[in-house]
Amino acid sequence: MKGVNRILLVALAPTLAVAWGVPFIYSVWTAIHPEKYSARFTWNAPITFANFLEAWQAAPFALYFVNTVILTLLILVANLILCTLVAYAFVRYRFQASGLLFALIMIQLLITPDILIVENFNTLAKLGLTDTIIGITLPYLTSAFGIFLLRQTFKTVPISLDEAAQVEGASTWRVLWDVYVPLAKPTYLAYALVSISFHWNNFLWPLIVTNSPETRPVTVGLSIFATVESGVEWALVNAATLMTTAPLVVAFLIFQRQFVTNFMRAGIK
Amino acid sequence: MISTATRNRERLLGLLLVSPALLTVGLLFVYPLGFSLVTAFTGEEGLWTTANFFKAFEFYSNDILFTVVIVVLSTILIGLGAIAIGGYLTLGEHPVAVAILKWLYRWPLFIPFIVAGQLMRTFLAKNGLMNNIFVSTGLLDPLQTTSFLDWRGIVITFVWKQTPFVALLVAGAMASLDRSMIEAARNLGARRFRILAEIIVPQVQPTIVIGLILSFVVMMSVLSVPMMINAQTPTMLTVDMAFRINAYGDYGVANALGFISYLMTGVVAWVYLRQGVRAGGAP
Repeated sequence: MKGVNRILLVALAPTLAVAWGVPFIYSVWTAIHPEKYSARFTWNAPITFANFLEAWQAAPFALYFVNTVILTLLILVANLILCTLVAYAFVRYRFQASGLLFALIMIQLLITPDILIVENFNTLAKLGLTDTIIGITLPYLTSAFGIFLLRQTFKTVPISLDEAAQVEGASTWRVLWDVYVPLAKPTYLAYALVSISFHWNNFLWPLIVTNSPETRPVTVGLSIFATVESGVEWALVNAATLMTTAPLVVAFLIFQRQFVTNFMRAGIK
Repeated sequence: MISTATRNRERLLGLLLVSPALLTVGLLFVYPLGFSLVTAFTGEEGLWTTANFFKAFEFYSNDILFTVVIVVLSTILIGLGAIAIGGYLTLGEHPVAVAILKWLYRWPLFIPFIVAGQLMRTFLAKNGLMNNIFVSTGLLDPLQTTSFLDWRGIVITFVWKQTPFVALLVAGAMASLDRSMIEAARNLGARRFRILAEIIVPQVQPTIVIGLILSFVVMMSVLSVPMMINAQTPTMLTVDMAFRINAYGDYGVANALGFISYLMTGVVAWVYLRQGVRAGGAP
């Protein structure tokens, strides 16, 4: 009986792993084989990249990728700067209503900007920023999650280091740049990957704000393949899907170890 | 002793550092939140009214219930999945099995919801991989296959996409626990399931709750998955909001539906804050 339990327990891991891996593996299979093999799994099925080529030609994906890279990087740079300043202020300075302001920022964690799209769209229209990449980035320039993670990390920096730097004559900016930022590098890396992943993947807000190919990100471009169930060419859909997500998967493969370690270390305690 | 001048300087500097972030939060979070609440309670003539809410409940009460059931069910399954994965990674004794699980479970972290929706459409459709497997293994006859592109598909996609995020947090918290208590329980003959349920899970409960709340909020705001997987009624509130705006330009009812969504996340936030206060620390 003990042996059976042991086998069942050992089998649990691959079962869970397969449950999470199969949809992705299936997607790869259909994307690199002709349509007629999308439900036939034979070893001699011919491999083809025609689906990727066809998907690439169905929409201006090169432009969509450029737009996505620009908007993702704009948000990341703004997040890193603004979240650093806010986290530092909350950790090292006492100022009026700091608790209330922190709570206000943290409420953002519980109400995602997607729910506020109607009014945010109106605000952008008033500012003349609809159908612009800047318009897509605006609601995400500050991240409550980033502030929270950095605040947690900055709290672990000994105050004596801060004071020693000040005694040496370092300015506030110098202390922040030379003491806090280097010590929070793992958190920055973990947060950067989360931010890039989230904004690369964001769909609803860019869909509402953009209406021309010049500003559309890849996820919105991908939605042209999102037709009804009947008559869908799965091979084409999956090729487009994999193409869209490929940069993130490559980044994940490169930074996998650092990401997991740092995210766990910087995680919510 | 901190002088008044230093204290004033600190106050000013603190506010100065926070102000750029506050400006964006004020303009694109507090203002739209307040304005959407006002619009939800304003009629076509510009007078205060609850008509938008009556209309929202009249047309979409099934969808409200559907959204609650889908998100709550998904949250529960995500929690169980995350505990199972975290527990296996912490207590698993077979290194190869642990390594396989560790390598594969994280993939959905980097897959966008819209892509997850696409993958699941191909996977769960009547002619998709899942049914093909059932047919080829003899579990189902081809005529017996059914599409899972309905509420089940939404739940499966949410669980598939969000479990790795919570599992990553939970596994990290489990890995940082003091192993001595686990080893002591093992030495006393406690089974792994009991160790997980009675020793490990209670200690990592705050992390599980935070991960689940963040997932709950994210799932409440996803449009692509219900739009792509469940092309029928009832559907989720995000789809209804998009429909009211695109089809009728009806911002009043759309904002009323948005307000109902905040209430749901607000209840979750309240539970979380209450737990934080009870625990005696900052949430």
